[in-house]
Amino acid sequence: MKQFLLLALLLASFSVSFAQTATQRFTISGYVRDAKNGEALIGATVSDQDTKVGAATNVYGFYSFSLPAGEHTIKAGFLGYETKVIKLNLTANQKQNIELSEASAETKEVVITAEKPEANVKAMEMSVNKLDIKSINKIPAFLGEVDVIRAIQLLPGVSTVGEGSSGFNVRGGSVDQNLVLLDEAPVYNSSHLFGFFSVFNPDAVKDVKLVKGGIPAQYGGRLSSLLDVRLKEGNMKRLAINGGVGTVFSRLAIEAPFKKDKGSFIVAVRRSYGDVFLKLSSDQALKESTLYFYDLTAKANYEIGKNDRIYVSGYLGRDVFGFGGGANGFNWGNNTATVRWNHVFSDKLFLNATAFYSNYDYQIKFENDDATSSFNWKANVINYSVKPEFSYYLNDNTITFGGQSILYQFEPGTATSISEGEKNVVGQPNKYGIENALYLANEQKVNTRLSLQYGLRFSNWQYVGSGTEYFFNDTISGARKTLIGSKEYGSGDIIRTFNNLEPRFSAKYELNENSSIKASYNRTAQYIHLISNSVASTPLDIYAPSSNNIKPQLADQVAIGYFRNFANNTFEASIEGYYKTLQNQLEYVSNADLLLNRQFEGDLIKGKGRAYGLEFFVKKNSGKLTGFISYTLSRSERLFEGLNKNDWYPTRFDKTHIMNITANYDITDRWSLGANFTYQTGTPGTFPTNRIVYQGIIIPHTYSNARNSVRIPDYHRLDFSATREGKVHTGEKWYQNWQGTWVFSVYNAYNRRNAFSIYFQQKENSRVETEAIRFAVFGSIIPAVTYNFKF
Amino acid sequence: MKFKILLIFALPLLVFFSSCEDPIVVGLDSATPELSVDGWIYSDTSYQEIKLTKTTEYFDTTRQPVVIGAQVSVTDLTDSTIYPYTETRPGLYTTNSFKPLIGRSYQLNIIQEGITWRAKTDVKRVPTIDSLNFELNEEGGGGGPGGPREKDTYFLTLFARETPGQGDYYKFDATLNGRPALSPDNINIIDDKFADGLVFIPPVNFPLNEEEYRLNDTVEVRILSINADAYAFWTEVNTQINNTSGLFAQIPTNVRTNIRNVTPGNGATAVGYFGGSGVSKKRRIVGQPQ
Repeated sequence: MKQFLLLALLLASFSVSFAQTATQRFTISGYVRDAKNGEALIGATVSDQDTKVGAATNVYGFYSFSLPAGEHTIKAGFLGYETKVIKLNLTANQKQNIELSEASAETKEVVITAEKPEANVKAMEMSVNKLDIKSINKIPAFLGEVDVIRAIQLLPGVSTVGEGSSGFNVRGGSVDQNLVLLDEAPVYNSSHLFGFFSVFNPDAVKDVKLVKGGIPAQYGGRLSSLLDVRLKEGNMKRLAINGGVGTVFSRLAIEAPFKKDKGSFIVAVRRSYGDVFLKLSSDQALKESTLYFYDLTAKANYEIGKNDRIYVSGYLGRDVFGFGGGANGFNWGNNTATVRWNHVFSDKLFLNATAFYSNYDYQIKFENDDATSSFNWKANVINYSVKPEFSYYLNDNTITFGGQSILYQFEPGTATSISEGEKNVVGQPNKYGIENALYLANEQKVNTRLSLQYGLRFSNWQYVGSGTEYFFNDTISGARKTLIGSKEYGSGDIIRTFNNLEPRFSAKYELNENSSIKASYNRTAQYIHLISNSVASTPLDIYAPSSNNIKPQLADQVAIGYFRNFANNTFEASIEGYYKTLQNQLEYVSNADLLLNRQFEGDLIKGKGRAYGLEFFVKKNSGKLTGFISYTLSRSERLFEGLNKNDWYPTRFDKTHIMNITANYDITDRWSLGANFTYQTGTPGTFPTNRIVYQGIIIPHTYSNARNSVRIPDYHRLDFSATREGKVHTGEKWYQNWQGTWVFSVYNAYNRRNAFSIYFQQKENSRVETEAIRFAVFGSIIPAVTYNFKF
Repeated sequence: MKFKILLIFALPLLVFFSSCEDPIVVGLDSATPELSVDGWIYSDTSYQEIKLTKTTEYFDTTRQPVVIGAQVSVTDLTDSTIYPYTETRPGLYTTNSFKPLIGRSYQLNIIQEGITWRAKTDVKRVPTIDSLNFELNEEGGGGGPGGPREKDTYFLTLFARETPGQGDYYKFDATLNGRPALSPDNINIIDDKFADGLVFIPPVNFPLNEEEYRLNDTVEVRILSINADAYAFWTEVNTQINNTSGLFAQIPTNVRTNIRNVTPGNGATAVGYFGGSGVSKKRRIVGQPQ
């Protein structure tokens, strides 16, 4: 009943806004693109010069808004581009596609002061950080290789367990609570080489947006954040080639039009060559090892008519670790494929229909020399989904509505072990789930100062057969539960259903031209769970569906922020505070058996989480010196029955203070310097108080049995980079137009051995003595040189 | 078979990323000493022992203080026979007349300073060892827990068939000329999840070769059956003392104990473990027939 009331309220508010129809108004709509390569510009603003009425382009570059009939001066602008002024006489609904030119070196100063990046203050969104690939490129990068996820980790509200760990934690959420989308398809493991690089090839990435709060109603399925990565569409005007030769890997990207201004494609590949160095090693074990990754990112788009455009994009990547020669080792990889159809029904109604496929798999294999004994394990998570999404532009409202259906196929996998020719197969059977969602949201300009965004997402989860439901007896808290029964279900039978209503709400109030206050609340539901009990998640962790034993995770977050631009929008700044609660979080009994165990649900402990914090962000967008400072003061805690004496304890990624400063200075037209400094409170750890001597072994023991009650030393690091852009060569043939760029970088410049963890052990040479050992992922300064080129 | 093993194998590859491990000085909290029980019963002997000490601070290298004057006994839970232990050395409680039977459960009783402690364990079935094989390594080299082999040493292989039916757990150890051939932290445990009814596979044999075996050495290998809880205990010990695999280390937690305080109104806690094993053993002199 409550659900219907909410829906009714929502509909009522729509009808109110529908009622405000004005006298004689016409709609102006179209696409905004880059004049040089035809790429759609995301978040470009188009507005009427006098009344300031306007709109920002969506992720496909489309905009639409209404103006009264008559003469208008329309201004279109985008950060780093020259503003375009168009005069028009509006007598009917009008299509107006706009091409913007990148600001050239000479006009840069003028343009940037003329063009105002007011979005910080004026945009509806809060708790959102956008990074376009150009600004990511300016951050000094590890081994000189620009990386999307490592750039994300510099933003306020983002934490990790430590460097080199997979994934990232947003506002106290776990790594599996981020919805990481590559052109709408979810990526289950965004890491290459554990966590040192991400799967996103910067040569193919156009735009990255991290949403930490106020998540719009069209997104769901994860609790804590949305990382929306959009690929380039490919150059619409001419053949272009980008590439680089680096210390760890090389890259090549080719883009070209099929038909000028109608269709284009991009193909980008990367391959690491760490294994080549290993071959040179004198150590036999290293020599026989392999360690590499490759990935391929591709996208094509074609305009079928005035109102339709089709996009096809895909990703294929794999990490391979092998040792001892032969087939021994493990590998993992993601494959995604997305097809999207953009259709403009009218000047006011825009449709994007998406269908995607995503597959994450990993495999472990061992074999002795004569293959008489072996061990082989393969596991997958596969998704198929359709997602129609409508945007309806009505006066001062932008209404979005649509739905999504995802079919999950979990293949936790079976392991086959062969011993002296005899075979033994164990494992978990496949599991299936269907996640459905319907949503309706409206962004409404109430008046020139107040804007609201409100929406409702209804999500539904069905755990479907074939499968087995297990029933457990509650035993003492914190210990393995005992199985008391099970029930078999046939193919397609519904085993468990869960429904959730997820309200989303944001408000913006502009205090004046330069400042605004924003607030948001959102509830999110998550139906899949990462099962992992190691400090950092490993590529071998499995995902499990919500079932009778695992309830859907729920999160509620409120956030409030003050946004202000200074010095004619040269600086943008924000302060945000948030409070988030998490329900149905998972922990594991000690010595939990999580892999290939049909009854692993008996080893889970249910609990809750809370996170709160303050985030400060200052960014300088223009001038010779650009960069940002982010500071986060936060706490992230969990409470589980039977753990830590039933008291709250900080998560392994809880850091009280995180400060990141990144700056870039253009010395000349060709040389620029970059620096990056980070300071973070040490992560929590558990240290022993006593020793137990048992059968000659010294076992560490914590008397209080407290978890994460001490901190490892603080983390801080400084990185530098110097970039020299080569001369722009010009000629008549495409290959005569080229430019080369050298990037020199130093990571960990003052050679600090930052602890990832501290562990305790008996001394190697004196077994009665014990010692604390610091494990540092990087124990030295890491210099690197990369050469990039573009045609 | 823990998959973490794989990750440990893979970590040397991260040398490439110049990871490093070095000792550092950290201050630890001090805490109240607790009773520490070190006791195990074996089916192949009538001599059994239990050690009682107190825990000390983690970095304290002095010998742990012994607990004297305790009353210690083990009860056979099938026929309720009580086997008393006597304190033959300070803190060491022994008996010469208790041979546990396979298939039975036993309870340890300790009364010390007015507190009664109890622990239960099982003595479970154990497969026989068919044979021990020694393979001559003429050239030396090769790997193993003890590093590269010397020339003309022997590599030990154990042959035994696991008892069909899931739910068996084992610990392996070996002696060389009557001395332990494995260091205490070389903990060899296996469950039959991947080996039910099969011949034990090479991961069992490999760690048994920590020492180098030479011609005319006497080598004895034991298979000790353990129950699920004891297997969990040894797994936790192994995890906590070898919890060094960097990024994928497990979160440090206390190792379980089965020593329970049954004194009403007393909240004192103890550490340690009381376990029991069925024992199957085989002895062979290197170079001589089985």
